[in-house]
Amino acid sequence: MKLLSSIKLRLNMRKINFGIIQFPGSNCEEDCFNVIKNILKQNCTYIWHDSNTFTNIDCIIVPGGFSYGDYLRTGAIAAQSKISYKIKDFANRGGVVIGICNGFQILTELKLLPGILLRNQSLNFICKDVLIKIEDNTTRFTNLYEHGQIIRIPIAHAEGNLYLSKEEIDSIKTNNQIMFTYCNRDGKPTVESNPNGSILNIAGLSNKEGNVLGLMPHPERASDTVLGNTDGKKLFESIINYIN
Amino acid sequence: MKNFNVTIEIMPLDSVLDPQGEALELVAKRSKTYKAKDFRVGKKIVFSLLSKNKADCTSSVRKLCKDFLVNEIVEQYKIKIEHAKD
Repeated sequence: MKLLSSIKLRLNMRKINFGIIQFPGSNCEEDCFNVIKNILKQNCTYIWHDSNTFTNIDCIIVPGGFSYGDYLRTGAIAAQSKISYKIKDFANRGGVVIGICNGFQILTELKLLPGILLRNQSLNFICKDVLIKIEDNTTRFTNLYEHGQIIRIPIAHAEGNLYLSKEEIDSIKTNNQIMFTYCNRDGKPTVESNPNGSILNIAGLSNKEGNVLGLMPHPERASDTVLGNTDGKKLFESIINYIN
Repeated sequence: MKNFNVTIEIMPLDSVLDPQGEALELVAKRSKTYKAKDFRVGKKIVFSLLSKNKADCTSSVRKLCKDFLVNEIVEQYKIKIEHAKD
């Protein structure tokens, strides 16, 4: 089935239109652009944060970085920008949105995703490869992975410690919103494998409807063979597969 | 319209870990000089706002806090509003 999906991905698909949001302080947008445009051969445009609109976009990527210098709270000021209201509107109409690292923080501040990303428990900025487990492979973002597959993806953040209220924890469990968890080599969500203290070892989660994903690991930094790791590529391919 | 001086004090909720407070606590404990404990670190935001009256001003400030300045999942806040001196 997966093989069939992969073959279909190469032979019989229209090009998907990705839009990558640029805020002052974004710094991962070119990595995302490179993966989408040069590796996956899809259409891709940058969208400046001060724009009022975007048209003919299938998927919005909110990239990593330090938007507005992380002032006030990470992602809080970016969430007030003109384009953020458009992203919210796009998501509420079912559009596919993915927020990576600072993008995840922005989506929580926009209330498109539950919770908030706090300072890492160790208080350190952490930059390293981590193992994460695919908790659900039936989604827009994970349909080309195996269920329970363990992949290696880099993280680079100081505020990745996901905090959720008790009500939010119950809600995300009920609605199967947990997409990726930090795990050890056996796929167990241990304390040692959790780099930042994130609740339930959550590395990425979706909204209730499943069209918005936020994750702290950087799949765009693990999608090019020259970097020695392509575990993240299937995330973008899954989106293309889903939209087609 | 009257001009009001607004002060907002934002603190982490008691139930939420405050890493900055923990760091200060650690340093204070290392020292034999300081007896202080139970540190919590917050932030203070000041601005001015033109409003019809104090009630209108309070209502606008609460909306600003809720929508932007405060994340109520992890933070609590206090508002202080005073008439600005001419």
